[in-house]
Amino acid sequence: MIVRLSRYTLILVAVLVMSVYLPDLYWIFFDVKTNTPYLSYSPVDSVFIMSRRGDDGQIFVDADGNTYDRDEYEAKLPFFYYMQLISDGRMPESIHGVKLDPNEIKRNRNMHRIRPYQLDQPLIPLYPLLESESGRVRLEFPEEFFRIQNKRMEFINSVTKKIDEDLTERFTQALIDNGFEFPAKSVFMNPTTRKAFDEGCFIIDGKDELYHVKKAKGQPVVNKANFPASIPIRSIIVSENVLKEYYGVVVSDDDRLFFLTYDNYKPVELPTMGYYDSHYSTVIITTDLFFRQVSIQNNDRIDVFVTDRDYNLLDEYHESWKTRDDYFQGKVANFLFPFTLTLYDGSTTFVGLFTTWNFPLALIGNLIALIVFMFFLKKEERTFKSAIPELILVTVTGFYGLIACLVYIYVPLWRPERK
Amino acid sequence: MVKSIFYKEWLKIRWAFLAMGILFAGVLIYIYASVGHTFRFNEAPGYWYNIIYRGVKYYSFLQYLPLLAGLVIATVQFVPEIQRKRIKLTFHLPVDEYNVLLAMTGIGYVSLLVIFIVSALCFLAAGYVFFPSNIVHSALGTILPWYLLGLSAYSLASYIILEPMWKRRILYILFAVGFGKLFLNAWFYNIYDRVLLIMIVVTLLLSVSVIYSGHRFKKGVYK
Repeated sequence: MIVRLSRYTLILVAVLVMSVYLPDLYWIFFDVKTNTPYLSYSPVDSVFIMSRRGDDGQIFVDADGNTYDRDEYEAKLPFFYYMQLISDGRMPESIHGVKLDPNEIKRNRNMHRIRPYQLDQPLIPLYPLLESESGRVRLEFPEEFFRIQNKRMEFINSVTKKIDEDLTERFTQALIDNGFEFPAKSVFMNPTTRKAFDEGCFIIDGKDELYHVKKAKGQPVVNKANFPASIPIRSIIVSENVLKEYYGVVVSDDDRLFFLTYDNYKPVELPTMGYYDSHYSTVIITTDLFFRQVSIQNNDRIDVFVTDRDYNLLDEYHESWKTRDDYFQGKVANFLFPFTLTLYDGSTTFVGLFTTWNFPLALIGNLIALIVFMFFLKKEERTFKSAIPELILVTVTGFYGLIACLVYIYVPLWRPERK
Repeated sequence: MVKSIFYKEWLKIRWAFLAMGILFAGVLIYIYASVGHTFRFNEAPGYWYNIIYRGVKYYSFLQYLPLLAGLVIATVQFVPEIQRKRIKLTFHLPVDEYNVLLAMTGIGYVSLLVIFIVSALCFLAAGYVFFPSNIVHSALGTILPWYLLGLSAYSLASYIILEPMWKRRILYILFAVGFGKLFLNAWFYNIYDRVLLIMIVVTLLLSVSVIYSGHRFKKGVYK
């Protein structure tokens, strides 16, 4: 019994190890490069224009198929390349009657990239609440970090390691006065000093209400956001920017995107048309003087939406391509490896056991492995009946199981010891 | 009889046990001495920030230590047994061979557990002096997979050493190294939280793997 247990454990570990490393090794040799275009929307002639890697270097084309050289490409995107254009003396005075001021261009230009694993990562729940009205030009980290306990918002001093009762009391009271219900469900903030100003943090309380909490001259400033309950918040990517149009981006549980605006925390939905999956897509949101652009990148496609400054949809672009599974190499891989195991799949920062099953193509490979194994059993003079668990294993795990069973060979319990 | 086996095993591992105990103590002292140093010479908020938001691990020195302990204990315990096939003598004792092997690995396992548990408790206690509980508990969750790797490494090393054929031993080593690497990802803290239970189960299952080699040894296999 215990001999069996030890052998089967070793076989299972071998299968697990092979299903992690063998496909990896295979793809090191045979991987296919897909080339994702980088898309921007030209304010000059209102068309999508993209740069992508061609067979001989970088190429620049627009959605209608016209090609450009680098200088022409940059001239089409003055909000992006204004520094280069000014330096070359090619910067237009105005576009469509709007006078171009470099400072205005800069102020309006923002980019937020949201990757799926950022939305699900381990976090020690201690947050630095920056002083938002210090009167200093540069932001500084406070000595205290806060955590939301069952009944209060607790500030711990990082130097003395003691709880700052005074600060704790003031903030807890301010929260309670605004109807906050402890304990909190989540806290979102942008904990960095590398930003122009600080907007504190956003906290979801026990009743799923959103609160905005700031520290101004050491005093709490608490606002209930009255955020609509119809939008269940998965995450808020707080991002203070000088445009002061929105506090950050809200990702909802049902995979929609919103700007959390300065207009009384009113959410403004960004167009995603159902193409966004917060567990798998990377989204890039850009703002400039004329447009708002949402680019949703997936493994096999890109979908881009452009709106005007009032968030009316102007144009969209869709492109899909073959993934490596669609190529010949992919078919061979599916045939060789019945499943692939990875510890990391990009959807979360946590380690998981992520399996991809390659049936039905893997069935052919598994069948071959099974036949080889049966020949082996015959050679070893073993009956099929004595090897039922192994036969099942090879049927399901194919070549992995075959190799494991050949390495961890069966030694019958009744075989006499050799002299 | 089993008592004598415990005594025999203890004679083999006692120096390695002591050396590992001293090494763990030394590394823990080093870790917290450098934490104390950082607090004296840097701004505390910045240090907290780096730990919480940048994933800096003040205890990263510990990562390979349990692995080392597992390998060392397995080596001092089982290498003497395969020299001139001494283990064969054990198999001729009037007790069940598998129980003897289990008793042998049991004592290695327990001695490792003693080192691991004592060091983890010291790690916790010293952590509370410098950090709030949230940081200390996260640190404990992060080092747990490293300790599990130490136990797995002990089990895997002992069955690899006891395997009679070099040809197979090499394949075993390949699998063992691949398996060990799965425990050592460190892109952030607490990343193994969701698979800890599976890791514990696999580690426990592997603890009897020495039986497989013992069985092969006993049967005198030649391929």
